[in-house]
Amino acid sequence: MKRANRIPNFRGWHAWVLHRPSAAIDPLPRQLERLGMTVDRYWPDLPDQNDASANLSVKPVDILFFDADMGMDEQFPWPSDAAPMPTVALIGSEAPGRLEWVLSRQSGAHLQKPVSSAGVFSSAVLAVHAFEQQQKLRAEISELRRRLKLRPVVARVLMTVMRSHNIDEHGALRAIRAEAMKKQQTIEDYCAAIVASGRGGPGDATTIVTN
Amino acid sequence: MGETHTNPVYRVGFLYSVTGPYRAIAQDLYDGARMALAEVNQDDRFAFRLVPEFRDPAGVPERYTDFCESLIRRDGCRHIIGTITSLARKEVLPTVEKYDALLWYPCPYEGFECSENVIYTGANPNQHILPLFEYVIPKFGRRVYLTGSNYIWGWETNRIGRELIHACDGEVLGEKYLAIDSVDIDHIIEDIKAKKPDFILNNLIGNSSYAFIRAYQKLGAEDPEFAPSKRPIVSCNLTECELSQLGAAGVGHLSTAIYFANQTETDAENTAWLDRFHAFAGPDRIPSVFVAQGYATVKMLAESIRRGGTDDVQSVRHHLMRQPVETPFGNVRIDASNNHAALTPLIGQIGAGGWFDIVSRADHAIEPDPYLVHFDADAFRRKVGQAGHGNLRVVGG
Repeated sequence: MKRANRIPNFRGWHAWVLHRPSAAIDPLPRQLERLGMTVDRYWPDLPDQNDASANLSVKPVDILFFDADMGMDEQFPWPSDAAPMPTVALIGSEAPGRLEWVLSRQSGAHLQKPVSSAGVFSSAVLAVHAFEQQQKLRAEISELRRRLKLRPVVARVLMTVMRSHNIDEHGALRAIRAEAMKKQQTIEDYCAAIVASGRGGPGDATTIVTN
Repeated sequence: MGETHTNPVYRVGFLYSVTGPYRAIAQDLYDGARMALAEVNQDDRFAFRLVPEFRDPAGVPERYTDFCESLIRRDGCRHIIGTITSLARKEVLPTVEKYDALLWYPCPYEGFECSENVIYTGANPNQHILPLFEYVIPKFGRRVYLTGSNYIWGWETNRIGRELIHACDGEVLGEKYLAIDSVDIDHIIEDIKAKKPDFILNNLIGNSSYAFIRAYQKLGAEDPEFAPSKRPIVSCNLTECELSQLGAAGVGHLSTAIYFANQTETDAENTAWLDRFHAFAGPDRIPSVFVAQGYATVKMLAESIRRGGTDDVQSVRHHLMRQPVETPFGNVRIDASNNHAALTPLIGQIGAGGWFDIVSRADHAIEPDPYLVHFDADAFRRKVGQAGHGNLRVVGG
C-alpha cells in the first residue's frame, strides 16, 4: 500500500510562461496561481537565470510553460535536451514539424490550446515527474560512463594482482572487490586510487590480501 | 404574488437522479430545490419567475450528458443545478464548458478541480475530511482503516486520509474497496476485527455503507472492543437522509457536514427554516445537508439573478461573488478566485431518532482550498498532537 510517487504541492513555486499575449492561454496563469504558484510571463526572450542573483526582479524559476507554435531554439539559453527545470509545451498547431520541435525540446508534458483550467494540474505533475526521472537517469548514466572510463585502470590492477599473487582473474577480482568494499568504494575508484598513489606496480599490489 | 406579465421567465435545468443507487440523496436535493423555487416564485423581491426543468438520469453517467445538452440547447437553460457523484459531474463538464453555461454543484467532493463554468457549493477536503480528522485523531488515535466504494470519491478521499495519517506519523492498517452497491462486506469486517484500528474512515456509499455499518454493529455486539464509543466509523458524507436505513446500527458513529438539522439551540433562523421545511415536506422529515444545499443553490442563483437583473452567466457569476447569500447554513460567500464556497464544518454524532448531535463546530467559515495548497502538515500534527483516548463531549442536541 506504499505509494512511491508523491504528488507535489506547488505552494511557493515560481512558473515562467513563455508565450506571446493571447486569450488562448489566459486561464493558465490563473490556474497556476490557484495551485499556489507565482507566475511571470515572458515573450520572446526569457530572462537570464544567471542574472537572477544579481537582478532581484527575476525570481528563480521552478517550471516553464512554453509556446510550441512560435517557439524556437534561440529563445532558450540551454541545449535542447538539457532544460534545467520541468517544461510543458503549449501546443496549438499539430503540424508535424512543430511536434518534431517539441520532441527535440524534450518537454515532459503538454497542454492543448486554448488552455482551460482543466489539465493544468496534471500537466505540471507529469512534467515534474518526467524531469525528475530525466535527472535521475542522467546522473546514473554519467556515473556509469565515469566508471566505464576507469575500466583500463581496473584491468591494470587486476593483471598486477594476478601476477603478484599468482592467481587467476576470478580470484584477483574477488580480492579487489573485497578491498573496495572494506573502503566503501566502487571497484573503479579503489583501483584508480591505487594507481594514482603510484602503487599498482607488481610489488605494490601485494598489499592486497587474497584468501 | 410578484408575478406580472412583464416579468421574465428563466428556465433552470436540474440533474438529480431521484431513481437509482443514490436516490435518497437526490430526493433531498430535489425537495430542497422545489421548496426554494416555490419561495422565490412567491416573493415580490424577485421580479422574475424560475421555471424548473427536472431530469432524472437514474444514476446512468451517459444520460447526464444527454440531458445536460438538451437542457442547454433545446430548453434554453443557462444554469444547470445538480449531479451528485464526481463521475456525473465530470461527464457533464465538457458540455457545460462548450456552451458556456453554469453548473451549480451542491455536494461535498474530493477537490482538485476548478472549472470557470462551475460553482462549487459543497465542502472540499479542507472543509470535510481535514476537520473530521482533527476532531477524531486526538480522541481515538491515529491508527486508521480506510474503506470506500470503488470510484473516484472513495479513492481520492482515502488518499487524502492516508496523507493526513502520514503527516501525523499515524498508521494505515488497511484499505479496502467495494463495487458500488455491493454488500459483500464480511471480509472487511474480518480484517477490521483482526487489526483493531482506532477508527474506520467510511467512504462507502449507499447500500454498501448501510451493510457495512450494520455488520459492524453485530461485531460490536459480540465484542465491546468494537463499540462506536471505542472505535467509531467516521464518514464525510453520511447524512440524515440515510439514517432511517441504519436504525440503531448507526447510533454513536460520526460524520462531518456543513449542515445538521439539529441546531435549534444555536440558530433561530434554522428553526424558522425547519418550520417552513416541515410545512412543505411534512412534519416527520428531517432535512439533511442535501436538502439545505438543494435549497441554497436555488437561492444563490435567484439572488444573483435579482442583483444583476438577468440570468446571463457572466452577470450571475459577478453578482454571486460580490456579496454573500443567506442560506440555511449561514451567509455563504463564493471565493472569486476558485468558485468554491467558504463553509463552516460541523462534526455530528448519530443520535436516536434519525438526528445528529453536533459535537464540534468550526468557529468560523473555512476558506475553500480545492488543491490543498495551504495544507500545513506541521500545523496539523500539532493540532492532533495529544494522541490517546478521550471521551466525546456532546455539545449539541
